[in-house]
Amino acid sequence: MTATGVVRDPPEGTTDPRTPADVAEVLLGDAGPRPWWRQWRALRRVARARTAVMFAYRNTMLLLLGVTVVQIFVLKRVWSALYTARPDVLAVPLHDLVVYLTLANLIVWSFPTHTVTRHLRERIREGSVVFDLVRPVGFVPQLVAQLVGALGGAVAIIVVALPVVAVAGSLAPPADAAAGALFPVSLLCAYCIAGLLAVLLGMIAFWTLETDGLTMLYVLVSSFLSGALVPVSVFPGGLRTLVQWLPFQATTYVPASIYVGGIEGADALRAVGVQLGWVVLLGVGAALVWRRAVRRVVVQGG
Amino acid sequence: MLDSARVTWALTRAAVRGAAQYRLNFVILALMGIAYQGSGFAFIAVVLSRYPSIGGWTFPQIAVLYALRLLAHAVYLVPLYMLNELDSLVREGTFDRFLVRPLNPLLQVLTRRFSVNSLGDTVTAVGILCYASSIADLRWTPMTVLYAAAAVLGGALIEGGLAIAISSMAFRFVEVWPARYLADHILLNFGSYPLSVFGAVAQWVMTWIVPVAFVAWVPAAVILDSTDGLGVSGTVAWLAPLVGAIWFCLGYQVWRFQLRSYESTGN
Amino acid sequence: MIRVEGLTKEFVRPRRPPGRFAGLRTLVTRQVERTVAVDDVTFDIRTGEMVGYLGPNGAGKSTTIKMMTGILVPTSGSVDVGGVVPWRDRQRNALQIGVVFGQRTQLWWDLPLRDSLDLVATLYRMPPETYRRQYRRFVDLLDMAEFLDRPVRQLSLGQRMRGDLAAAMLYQPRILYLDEPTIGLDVVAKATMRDFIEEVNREHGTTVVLTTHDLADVERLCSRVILIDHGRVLYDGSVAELKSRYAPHRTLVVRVAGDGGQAEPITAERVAALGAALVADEGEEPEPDTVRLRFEGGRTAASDLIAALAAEFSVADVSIVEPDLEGVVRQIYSRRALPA
Repeated sequence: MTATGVVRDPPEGTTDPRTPADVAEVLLGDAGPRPWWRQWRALRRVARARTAVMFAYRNTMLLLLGVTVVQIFVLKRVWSALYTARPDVLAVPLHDLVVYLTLANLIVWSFPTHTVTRHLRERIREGSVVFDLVRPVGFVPQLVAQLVGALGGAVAIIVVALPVVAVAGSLAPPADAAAGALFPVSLLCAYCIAGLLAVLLGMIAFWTLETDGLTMLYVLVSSFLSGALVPVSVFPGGLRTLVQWLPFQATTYVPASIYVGGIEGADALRAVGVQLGWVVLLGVGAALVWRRAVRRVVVQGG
Repeated sequence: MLDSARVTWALTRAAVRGAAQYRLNFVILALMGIAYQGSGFAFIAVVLSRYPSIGGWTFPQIAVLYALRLLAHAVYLVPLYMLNELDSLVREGTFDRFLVRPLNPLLQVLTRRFSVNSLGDTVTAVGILCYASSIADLRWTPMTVLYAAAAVLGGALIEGGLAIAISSMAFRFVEVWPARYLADHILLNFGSYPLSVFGAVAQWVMTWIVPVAFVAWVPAAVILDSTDGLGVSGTVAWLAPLVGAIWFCLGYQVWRFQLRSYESTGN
Repeated sequence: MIRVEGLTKEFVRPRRPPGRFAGLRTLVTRQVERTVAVDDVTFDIRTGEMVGYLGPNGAGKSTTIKMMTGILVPTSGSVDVGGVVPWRDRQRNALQIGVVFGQRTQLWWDLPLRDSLDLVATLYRMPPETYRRQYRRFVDLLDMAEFLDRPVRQLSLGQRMRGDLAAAMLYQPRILYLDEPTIGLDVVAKATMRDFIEEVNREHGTTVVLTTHDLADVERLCSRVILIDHGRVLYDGSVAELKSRYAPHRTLVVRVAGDGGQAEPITAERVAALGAALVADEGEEPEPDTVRLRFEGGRTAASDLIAALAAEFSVADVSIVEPDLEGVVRQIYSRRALPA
């Protein structure tokens, strides 16, 4: 899944004349032999290949979406039963809550966490990660292209399954024009945060070889803490404070709440601001870990 | 029969010895089992801290239901976990070997390796059961204890039968694990709540098409002595453990049928 | 012992239409592709025979073996192995056969080799004293003592293969199927394997069916070969017969006495008159005074040829090169590849 045909990997045993700092610079600054915007076509190919892989495994993808649809249906019915028992605990009307849950679960489903961690693990295992750094198409643009491709595939599959999703859960237009305008921005931030979290997780492969089990564990815990089952506002006191200080709610709770009007006006803008803060923070964190990891690989030879 | 049991036991011991060599994975995998099953219970605990009941069932009652389902799941998972890897056994051609050995191939699949994940599920199940019996209003009699044990076994057989039937599709198709994952999820999600919550249609389907109801909901109602609204009569409710036996036999017949079309494409 | 009649296996696979939206179209159309992997194969193998079952990749070798061992159910035809239909009564069949797949081990990866052998003995319900006797004998014959306590995943390929062979023969099956048993092994390991197979065949009259790419295995072990290609039997008979039918040519290597170029050169015309033909030197380093003559063993006697040559030219040395199986088989397949 790399832009092969552009440049061959150097033969084995070739030593890279650059210092670790140079290599990190190349990676972090996209300062490869040619800048990434000159490699638009190659990147597009990477993204397309990723989408094609998702279509090739469409049965798998659809069944996995089925898991999410079941989840949405169960949540809808359970929350309906809860509302019947006591309708006044939450300020949100039941219908809005169901739309929120439907949307939140679809967002979680479309996160390419496994794509990222697998890609990283493969590159690290092969030891080719260092050569990725000196490729015309740098590592980060490549990873982004992969994410875009995976997202494209996910959206196409969701669109096909939308009628079923609508029956199992509930769909509705955004609460108002402002929500409609802010939602895409918030969603983009959410994907950046989820992507960066996945990169951080995937980089564990620099130190241990197995990451699949850990990724599954992460997906489970993060989807619970992200508010995909229970809106963050329902969590009991201590847990709610904890969840509010973790990045997971920014990946799901924030965009879905903005969409249904659960967070409005100044609060919505502030929430997006917090999301941007997370993007910067996690971006810097990922870069630091990455720098350390790459130095380790370059110095110790993997 | 006795002979096969002896051989199976020897293979099982070997599988456990083999797994014991990977200590580090032990912990991670066991934690995964706990997180997977624990997160569902955490959800129920969180919402029922704000709401009085789900579908008329209070938190202690749902805890009993959840514990029974999870215990049945653990009893199914410990011996049958390797079904999850049938896909790769077939794809890599390992399954060929099982057909040229004098022991039922299914037993050979199950004893190929011992999985530690299932221990995580077991620990969670026992933990929640202890917790549930301490908060719920349960009057254990020898009869209900016996019934509970039979019900857990029956529930395990239901899940096992379903797992065997779906896994055996691997003899025809390349990737079956997503279907297994979906089935697991349906059992987990629907099985953890009073089925009446899901509406009449879903309740009927989950009782008579896929017998999710008999895994834990019906037995829990019998143990909690509140069998109203089950959609089945009290007698049928007491016979719930039998459903598992029937279902498991059906699953095994599907396996035998699918095995005939095994094409040994792996290489 | 083994009777195969009209054996046919057809695989049916869904075909993907090419072009755009191919994935979508597979959902609505049901195009299938049929390939006949084994096509009306018939043969008999007697008790104690060692037979080489040969063919290029994709010829249907493995598919035939899989039907004979009971792994696959044939589309039509019948197989009878010692009175058992293998795929109908798999467990009874399993007790009488041993199977070695060269690329896939049957040993328990994480356990010491010794444990794997114990488990095989349990699986095949061996009486303890029989097991002990066989165990000692095999450890000795295959020289396994030094790595018995090592986990199988740490064994070298040669050690692992010896373990696999021991596991397949431990319970003294009447029939041994070997699928590429020497693949990837070094010369010494190959020799050990061949000696062992020969030994069990001689001692117990074990019937052996062998598929391999290394024809030296066949030449060493088998008196009979069955050649298949495109799922059909091309040849079934003895190795000697195969050579004389498909490669009747022997080669006479003649070294002419170096007497300063005064002697007459051996020309093509002269050689043709003697019922032979000049061939190019196939050796790596051409020798200046050596010529190679190809002749048909059936028509021209070697002794006549040598006598005639010696009478006309100053011959210093002669030797005869027999065709090897490798060359014969290569020749048969290359001939088949050409349009007849």
